[in-house]
Amino acid sequence: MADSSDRPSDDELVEACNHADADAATRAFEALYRRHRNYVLRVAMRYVRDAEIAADVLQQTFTYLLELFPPTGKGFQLTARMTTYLYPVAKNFAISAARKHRRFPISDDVVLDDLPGAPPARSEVESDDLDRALARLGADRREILTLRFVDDLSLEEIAQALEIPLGTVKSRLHLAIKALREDPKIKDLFDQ
Amino acid sequence: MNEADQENDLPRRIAERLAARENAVTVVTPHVDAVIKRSAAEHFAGRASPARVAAEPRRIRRAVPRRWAVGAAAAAVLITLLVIRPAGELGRAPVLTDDFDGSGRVDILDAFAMARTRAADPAQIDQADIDALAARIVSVQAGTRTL
Repeated sequence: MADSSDRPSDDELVEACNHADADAATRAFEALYRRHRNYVLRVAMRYVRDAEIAADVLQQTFTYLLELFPPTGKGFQLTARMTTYLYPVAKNFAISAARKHRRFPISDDVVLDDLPGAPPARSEVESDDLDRALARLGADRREILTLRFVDDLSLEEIAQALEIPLGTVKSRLHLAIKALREDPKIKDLFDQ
Repeated sequence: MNEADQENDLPRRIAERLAARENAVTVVTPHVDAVIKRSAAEHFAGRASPARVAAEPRRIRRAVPRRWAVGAAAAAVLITLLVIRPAGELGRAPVLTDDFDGSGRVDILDAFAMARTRAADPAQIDQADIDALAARIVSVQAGTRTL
C-alpha cells in the first residue's frame, strides 16, 4: 500500500482524515479524491456507459467515503488497497444509477466495437472473435478477469471487493480462463 | 511461474482487449472537483484547527461589552437588508460549472486560470481537465454561443 515516492500513502491520508485538524483532513481527503477519482470513473463507466452519469457516481462514491470520517462517521481503517474499498461502493452506485436512467449494465450480446475505448483492430477477424469470446463469458466471470488483469487486484482483494469467498474468486477465475482457452477461435492466443 | 499460475494467466492480447473495453476514457469536470472540495471542507469544518484553538482564549479575554454587542447586531441586520439581499438574487443565477475563475462567465480565461493553478501545484488539477475545458470553450465559441 505504501507509495514508492515521497508523497503520502493512502494509509497516511486516511489517518489524517480520521484524526487531523480540519485543514489537514480536508487536504488529505482532496488528495485521496484526486488520486482515485479516475479509477472510480472507470468503474462507473463499466456499468453506466455515460460520462455524465459516471460523474454523478463519482460524486456519490466520495460523498459516501467522506461520511465515514468523523464527525459524522466513526472513522475508517484501511486494511487493503483503497481501490478494494472504492470498487464495491462505486459499483453499487453505478448499478443504481443505471437502473434509474434505464441504462442497464451491458448485456453479453452487445457488439463490443460499438463501445468507447476499443482500439483499432490489429486483425478484424481475430478482434471480433476475441470480443465475442469475452462477451460469452458472462458478467460475473468477466468482472473477475477485469479486476485481476485490468485493475491488478490480488485474489484476496477481489474477494474483499466483491464480498465473496476467496474460493469463489478462484473458481470463477479458473472457469473464465478455461472457457477462453477452450474457445476454438482464440485458443491459439494461449500458445503464443 | 508455476503450472497453476500459468493456467490462471491471461495472454497479453486478451488482457489488452479487456482493458480497452473496461477502461472507457472519461474526464472529471472541474464542477465535480469543486463539489468534492467544498463537501470535504464543510464536513471537516467542525473539527478544531490549531489556529482556531490558539485564537479561542484571546476571544474570551476580549469579551465585548453587551451594549456594543447589541449595537453590532443591529448594524449587521441593517447591512444584511441593504447589501446582502440584492446580492442573494445574484446567487440564484444558474451556476456555470466551468467558471473556474468565478468571473460569472465561461471563457478561455478559465482555462488559463486552471493552467496557472496547475503550474503552482500540479497535484491540484489534471492536464486532461484543462484540455477538456479548453476544448469545450473553443467549441462553444466556434458556435457563436454566448454564455
